[in-house]
Amino acid sequence: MSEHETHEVENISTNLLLQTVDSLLLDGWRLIQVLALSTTEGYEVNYSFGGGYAMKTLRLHVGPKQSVPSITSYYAAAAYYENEMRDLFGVRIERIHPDWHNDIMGEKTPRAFSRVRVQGTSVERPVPLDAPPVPLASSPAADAQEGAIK
Amino acid sequence: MGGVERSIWIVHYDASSCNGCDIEVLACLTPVYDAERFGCIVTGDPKQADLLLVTGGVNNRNVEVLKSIYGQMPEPRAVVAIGACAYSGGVFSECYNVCGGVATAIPVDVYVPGCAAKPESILDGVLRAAAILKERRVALRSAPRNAKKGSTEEGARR
Amino acid sequence: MSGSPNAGPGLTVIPFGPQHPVLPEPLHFDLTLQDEKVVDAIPQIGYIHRGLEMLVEKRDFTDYVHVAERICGICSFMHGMGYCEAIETIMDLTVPDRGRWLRTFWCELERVHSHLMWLGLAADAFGFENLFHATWRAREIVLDVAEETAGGRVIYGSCIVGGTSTNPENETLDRCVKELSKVRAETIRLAEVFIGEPTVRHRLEKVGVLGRGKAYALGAVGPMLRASGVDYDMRRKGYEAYPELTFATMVETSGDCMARAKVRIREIDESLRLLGEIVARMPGGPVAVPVKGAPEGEGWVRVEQPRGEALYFVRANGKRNPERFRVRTPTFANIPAMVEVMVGSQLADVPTIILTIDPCISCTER
Ligand code: SF4
Repeated sequence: MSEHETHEVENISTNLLLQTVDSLLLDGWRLIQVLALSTTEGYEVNYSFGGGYAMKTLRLHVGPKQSVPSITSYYAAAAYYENEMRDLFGVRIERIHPDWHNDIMGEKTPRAFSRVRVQGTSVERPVPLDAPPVPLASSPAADAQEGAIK
Repeated sequence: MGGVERSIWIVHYDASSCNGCDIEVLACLTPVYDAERFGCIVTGDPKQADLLLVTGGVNNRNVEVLKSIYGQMPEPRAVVAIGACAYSGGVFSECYNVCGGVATAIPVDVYVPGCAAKPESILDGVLRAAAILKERRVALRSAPRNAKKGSTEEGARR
Repeated sequence: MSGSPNAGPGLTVIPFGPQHPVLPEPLHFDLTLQDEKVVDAIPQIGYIHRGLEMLVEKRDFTDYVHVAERICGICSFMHGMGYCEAIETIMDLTVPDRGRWLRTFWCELERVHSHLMWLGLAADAFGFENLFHATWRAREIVLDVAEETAGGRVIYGSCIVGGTSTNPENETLDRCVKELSKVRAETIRLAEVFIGEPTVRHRLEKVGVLGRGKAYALGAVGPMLRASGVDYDMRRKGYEAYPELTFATMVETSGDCMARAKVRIREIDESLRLLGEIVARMPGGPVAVPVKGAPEGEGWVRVEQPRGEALYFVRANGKRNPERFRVRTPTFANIPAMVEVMVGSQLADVPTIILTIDPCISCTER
């Protein structure tokens, strides 16, 4: 498929990130997305940039405690991705602006992708809510209820 | 009041649904399905609503919103949970941020099956809930006035 | 939360949402106002966050399509298709011709349905209840066609890894195109009413202007970007049957709310024309290839949804369950531009601005 011919992935080291991003900005690339993955060694962070229909991805490998500089001073749009990434994964990102302080998804949202979890196992369900007991519904409801599960 | 039925005022809340059921709820209001022929009116204000339609499951952030909407509704009130998500979380039941169906937050009276629920079945669910509402209204009226303070006020006024 | 501006002298912070006058979905903004003017807008997300990206670890890669479709019920088919394409690129599967063309058919159908829905909601927000009902009645025809060809009204369920799961007869498709021609006539009529109405023009024109350079730099996509004069449409890039089709990209230059409305309305028309062409040229043969083995590697796919470019990423390690799935949805990309437009506008215009961006919160938060 043609889309992949114009997509290149480049591995770079963390200290070169800002420099590379700066030159991409000068060359007229725009940010498409930032994406994180948890790997066995820590995190992998991918920054994708688009220029016309072409795409270029910078790939960083960072340790669980290592911090990554924010690219929001170059690309303001990155703030949402970076805040979300820090919220869900726990990747340490420095000097994001604006900074939601781990609250973009609401403080109760579990940090599910975080390195703390064991690879591949399922996450525990959140603590059950103190819900009022569900009343046994009257007949029509019960009918519909049966219909719903099958 | 005899043969006169009340019109049902509906408030719709989208918990963590995928929108599939939401747009079907909206479709119910438009000419082809036309819920208004049963006297259903959609309002944005829970304080005036009799019926709460919830689409989607409950997640950690919207559970409070859902409870507060339910809390603002006057008695008698009923809740219709629409779609597989609202029943148990549906396809998302194993997601880390989904606590389960609507029943984990508020009591539900009618479940509408389907993913996405079809407008016909949503209408059916609303009508069944209307029947439940009617029973409750009768029960409330025959209940002693100050047995349940506050919550019966609204019912008594009607 | 910092980001949250300290309300200084003369500044007021008001919460906008989560329950809304214009959208059924919960979207929340903290708006900082100076008198009636918005000086800052901070979005808060997470009301619909489900965490479905992680579900990919628990589902077989062929079953995950059902979850991917439910990222958003409005662009459901395209979400499923984006995921399937990502898996197909990893596994080097070639979808047979008829499968590709059928997918394209459903994509365009979805675009029509989504834009019509938007038109109806916009009319409703301006108080034209009549127009809202008329648009949605026309939209029901589109949904009927979807149900007849794919099997579902909003969640199509017809895309599988390797092709499509349903194969409508050619006669059915022809009949559908006849039905759709009614929609086309109706839409043109409705759109004229909508666009020509002085109150609508008053509220849309020169409101929420987004300049060309800003739109591009902030990463706006879809109608939002095209309304600002950038000719950018992922379909041009060529996926499924698009390389064999010729179609016009709708571009407007004024960048205001009206331009965004016009782009969508023109796209309805163009997509309906395209649907006719697709059916007329629909090739025969099988619709899917069998899938053997498990994916290993990574796939990046970008498709053009009704709201703009969406990006799908799948990484798999040779097991039945992929490792990571990621979707960057168009609304997420449009948020920075939306905030940019809001700042400096009047409070009364905020609902209009949100509306013309056509946000889909469910897919933004996944
Ligand atoms: S039940 Fe299905 S269609 Fe409805 S909100 Fe849930 S996933 Fe979407």
